[in-house]
Amino acid sequence: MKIKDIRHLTQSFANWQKAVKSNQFDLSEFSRSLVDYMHQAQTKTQSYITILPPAEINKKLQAAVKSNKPLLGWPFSMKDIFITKGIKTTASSKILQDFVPNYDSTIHQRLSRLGGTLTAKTNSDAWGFGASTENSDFYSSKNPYDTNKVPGGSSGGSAASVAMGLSAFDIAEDTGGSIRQPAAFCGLIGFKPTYGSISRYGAIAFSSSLDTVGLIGRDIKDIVWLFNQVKGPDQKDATVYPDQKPTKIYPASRLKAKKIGYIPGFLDENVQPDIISHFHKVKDFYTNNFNIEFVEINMPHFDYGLAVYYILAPAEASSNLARYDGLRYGRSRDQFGHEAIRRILLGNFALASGYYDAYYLKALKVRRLIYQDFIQAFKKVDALLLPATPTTAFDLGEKSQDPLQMYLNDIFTIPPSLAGVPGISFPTGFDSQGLPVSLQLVGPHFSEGLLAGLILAWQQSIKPYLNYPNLP
Amino acid sequence: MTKIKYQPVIGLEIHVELNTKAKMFCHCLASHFQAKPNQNVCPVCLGLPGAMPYPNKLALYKTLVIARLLNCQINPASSFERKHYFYPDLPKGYQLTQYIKPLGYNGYLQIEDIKYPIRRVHQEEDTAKLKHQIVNGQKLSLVDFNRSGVPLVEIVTEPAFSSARQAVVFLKTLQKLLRFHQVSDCDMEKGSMRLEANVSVKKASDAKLPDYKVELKNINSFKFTAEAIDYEIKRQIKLLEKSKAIPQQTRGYDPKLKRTFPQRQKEEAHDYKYLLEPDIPPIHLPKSWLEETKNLTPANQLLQEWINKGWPESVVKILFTHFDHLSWWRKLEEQIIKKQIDRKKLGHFLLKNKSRYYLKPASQLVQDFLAGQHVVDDSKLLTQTIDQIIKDNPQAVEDFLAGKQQALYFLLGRLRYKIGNVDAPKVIKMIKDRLTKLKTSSNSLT
Repeated sequence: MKIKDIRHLTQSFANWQKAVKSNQFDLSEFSRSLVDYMHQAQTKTQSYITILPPAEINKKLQAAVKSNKPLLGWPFSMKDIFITKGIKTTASSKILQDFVPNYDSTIHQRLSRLGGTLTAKTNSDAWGFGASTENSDFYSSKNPYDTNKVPGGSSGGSAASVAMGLSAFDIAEDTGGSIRQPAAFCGLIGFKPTYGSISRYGAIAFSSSLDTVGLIGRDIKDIVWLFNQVKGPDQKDATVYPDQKPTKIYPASRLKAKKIGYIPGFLDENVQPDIISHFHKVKDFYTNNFNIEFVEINMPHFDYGLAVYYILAPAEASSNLARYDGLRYGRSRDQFGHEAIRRILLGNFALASGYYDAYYLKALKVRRLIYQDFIQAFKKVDALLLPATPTTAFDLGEKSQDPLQMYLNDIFTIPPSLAGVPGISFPTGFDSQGLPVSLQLVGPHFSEGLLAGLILAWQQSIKPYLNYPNLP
Repeated sequence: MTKIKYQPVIGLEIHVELNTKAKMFCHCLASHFQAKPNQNVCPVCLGLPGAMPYPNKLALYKTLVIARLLNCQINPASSFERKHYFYPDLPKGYQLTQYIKPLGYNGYLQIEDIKYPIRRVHQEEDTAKLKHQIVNGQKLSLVDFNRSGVPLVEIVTEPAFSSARQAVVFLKTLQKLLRFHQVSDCDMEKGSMRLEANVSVKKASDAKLPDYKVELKNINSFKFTAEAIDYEIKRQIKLLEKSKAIPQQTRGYDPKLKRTFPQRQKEEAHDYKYLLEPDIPPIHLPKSWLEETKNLTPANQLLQEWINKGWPESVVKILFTHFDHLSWWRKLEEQIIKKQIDRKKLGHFLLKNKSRYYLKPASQLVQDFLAGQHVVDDSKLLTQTIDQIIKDNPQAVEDFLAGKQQALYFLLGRLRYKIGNVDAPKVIKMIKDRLTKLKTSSNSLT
């Protein structure tokens, strides 16, 4: 099959459904072609840890179509931090490079039951520690729009795979921006729902109070549909909200006269001018079409987000990684990469007696203040429009020697994570170098329907889901 | 020179495993005694990547019951923390426990006139078990995860005891109390009750507590606990008399040599780097639980309640030790009221037949008691049963023939066990006659 045809099928579920129902293509030929393209892409973008064999993909596809499962076999990929029964799961780390679990993550189990077909496990920063995939213990992934650039991270391989049209969607996890930032760098929708919407059981933990399972995809309608299928209580994850109503995308009529906030201080010289101009473009779109009022919002503690995050996230990470003590999984602790060691040390330091109050406890308190900033803001406005990232995709190697510069890339994605509120990054076009530009909408807890409505309206105006890089 | 008087200061830490069916944070079976190694395990209690704890509500309820029985203040909102340390029996690298907000605190257990203060009662999870074995000539440490994640409750007392006897009375009362309310089996042989005593000694004139303590660990009986504490007090006094400093230490007890021995020197304070468990939302005890458990009566007060109901005191004191489940007594009371039974008569009947009704439903006791009101007087049945009993108990027969009259009462007991109440003097005579006949016949044979 031609890449054009594959892309047509992965672009929207409607396309897939129509083609499957009318037998427009051969499933086994599709499986073979898809895998061929993934291997072809791998030589240039190194997006994958594991590509499943075509026979296995075909088998699952056939079964899902035959039994008329809701997803009809629609092929997706998963970040390699999700436990998949019988399929190697590494968290892109050397410690787990031979780990084949005999149990399943809830999200994979649910998608399998719904008839989704897992095609690949994607590369990321090891354990989710990073913003470029350069911290993968195996190799860095590349941005398919420009292979000298990073795809973002930690879910960089995920975003690249969807961007190339080789996954219909990807299941990833966002701790401080790991879905929204790579989606932004690759021109996709990065959907981080409210903390506690989707079960984390079987997602290899980075920072448990922040880790949020979400999706990277092209079309907000499909994403919300999938979100509704996989979210909800799980007897294996006590942090999932018990009573969740189905998310309904707000129709255009309900967007009228809503209020959107923005934080004026961020439209300064630290943000790439392309992103600022896109911000104004989108702002004008909403004002002109829906009479939406834009309101300046002060969030006095927003600036502390990064500092708080780099206390709390490493503290929890150091604890979550304690189980890789060299006794199990066949690899000793000297296999940990630099960033993992850095975070284990940072975390242990922040939790050590004598420093605990000054760092960990203080950070918890400031997190509370940031949370309250959001709650206060949402008394005045319905949502916030923010940049997703300060810049578009940066060069490979540009920041990998300077962790602080790397951390700064998450400056807009971290505060919503600390507050547990949903944030969705969405493509707004391209910058002067031809790299995708994105913004981010953030709303109150469980406001995914409103955010999706706003994004759907925008999506219909510029159709970013039709954009593809030249690869593979 | 007058001799300085010393006073022991003893505090206790007791771990009990709750008798829930499932483990604390997963659905695996909690029972692990004599189970085949690593049978009751899953990703959660093996600490595998991505696995998450899901708290067992019944275990929390039972912990609340314990806190209530020990008259504790309750934290209606509490949480779990991760206590980090490295050990092969701890697969996650941390143990889930309640450090900041124990479920219960500032309680006491009253024994006669003394209220022994309880510092805290909190919920945690048990560790896996290490087995050091020689396999194919190689010394190996094997890990059995059946016990990993079994719900455990830690009860910590204030250093309020001044003798081994006091401590053991406390421990026995506690064991009874927890068994009575069916929250734990408290079986030391099976490891469902584990004791630690912190022992130090101060000058009687000193108001302050000593600045060291010796932890006595891994002692698995009340008797040995008492012996170990007594030994330790003597050892420490001897050292103090020689003006020697006593190091902070963990010591074990050797029951054969009847003395304690050092196990490890305690580092100043281990830094456990407690972290709020982010995978478990804050625990809010339901109001209904708090209401239900408000008026739990400790066993020693229940005793009085039962005496007030009309049970003979001497009888019920013994019976409470034997029939140690509150629900059993409740069912018995229901029957007594329904069938208008005389508690005094029933009590004496039960006392005589203690072992027969152990672990049997209360309804069977009542049924037999009522049947037993009729004395079995069928002489054919009596003769047959006597013959059977004589045949089944050759030792007793021999004892009788050797002149031990006691053996007759043993045989009477066996008979009663088989067919119920009988006219004792009459039946004793029957047995005696039968045995005498046997004697003469065997004599004539020789």
